[in-house]
Amino acid sequence: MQEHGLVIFHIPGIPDFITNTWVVMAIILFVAYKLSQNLDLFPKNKFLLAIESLYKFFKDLLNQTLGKEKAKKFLPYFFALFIFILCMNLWGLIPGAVQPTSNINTTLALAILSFILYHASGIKFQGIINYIKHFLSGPKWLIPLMLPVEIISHFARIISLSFRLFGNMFGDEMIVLILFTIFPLVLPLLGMLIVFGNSFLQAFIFVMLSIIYVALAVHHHHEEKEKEKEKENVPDIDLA
Amino acid sequence: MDIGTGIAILGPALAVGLAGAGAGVGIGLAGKGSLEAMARNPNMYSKIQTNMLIAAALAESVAIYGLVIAFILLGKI
Repeated sequence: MQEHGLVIFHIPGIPDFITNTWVVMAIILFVAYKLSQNLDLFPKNKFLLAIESLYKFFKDLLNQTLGKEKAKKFLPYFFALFIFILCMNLWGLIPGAVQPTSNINTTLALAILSFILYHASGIKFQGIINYIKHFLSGPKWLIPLMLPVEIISHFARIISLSFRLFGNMFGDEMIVLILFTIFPLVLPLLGMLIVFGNSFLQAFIFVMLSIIYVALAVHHHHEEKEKEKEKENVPDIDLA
Repeated sequence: MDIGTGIAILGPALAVGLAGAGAGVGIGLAGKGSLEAMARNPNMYSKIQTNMLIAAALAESVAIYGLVIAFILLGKI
């Protein structure tokens, strides 16, 4: 579905958003390769400094929500996901480029990826029987009601993640389009400012929600066991 | 434009309007709680701000669902 007027990266048989995704990936890989040459302890390149502080932000966030050993395993995925979604969102600001995330296919693919990630990590860290027991939590007579509700809410997570990103990005494009018809040269700049701010926010929200889902899938049983162990360790006080 | 098309156009308008009302209330409540917490405890400013943005984006996403439905329905008229 070729909607945009002037598209720079265009291959005749392939939809525009796919070729623009490849271009964004190529640019990210190229910039990452260039920045990773001659690494110092105190980087002189300010862009590299900004990216390193972003990395530290995600590292601290993951340490808080997941705990240190698991955070190390998940950090590359979440940081790469954030940079990828951010660059895809910002790509639409360039004239002649198609924003890949303003298409439901891209965001649905990313949401399905996060869905598979948190289920797989829950099964890996807890074992499959414990993980299925985590769906069956609660009083026993309520389980036939809660199980379909839980399953539907898990599938609703895919839809909510993908539609949140898609709706925000597509809606912001529509805002810029509509502002073009009102006041052609000045108001679309305001629309583009909205796109700029919203791209950061939506990328962060997507990654934050994925982290929370992984934390929910992985944390459940361990917390209960740790709380039981702490209760046993508290000594009784003699108030004689 | 006959009466059928007129009533059909009312659908997406109601979708966005009512969803927007809910989102406005939700984001207002998130802002209220976070501002009160920031005023009580100015040390935790950035943590509270981060969580406020998360809550606001989650509340806003329901309004975005309404917007997406409006686009789909407008495309079918």
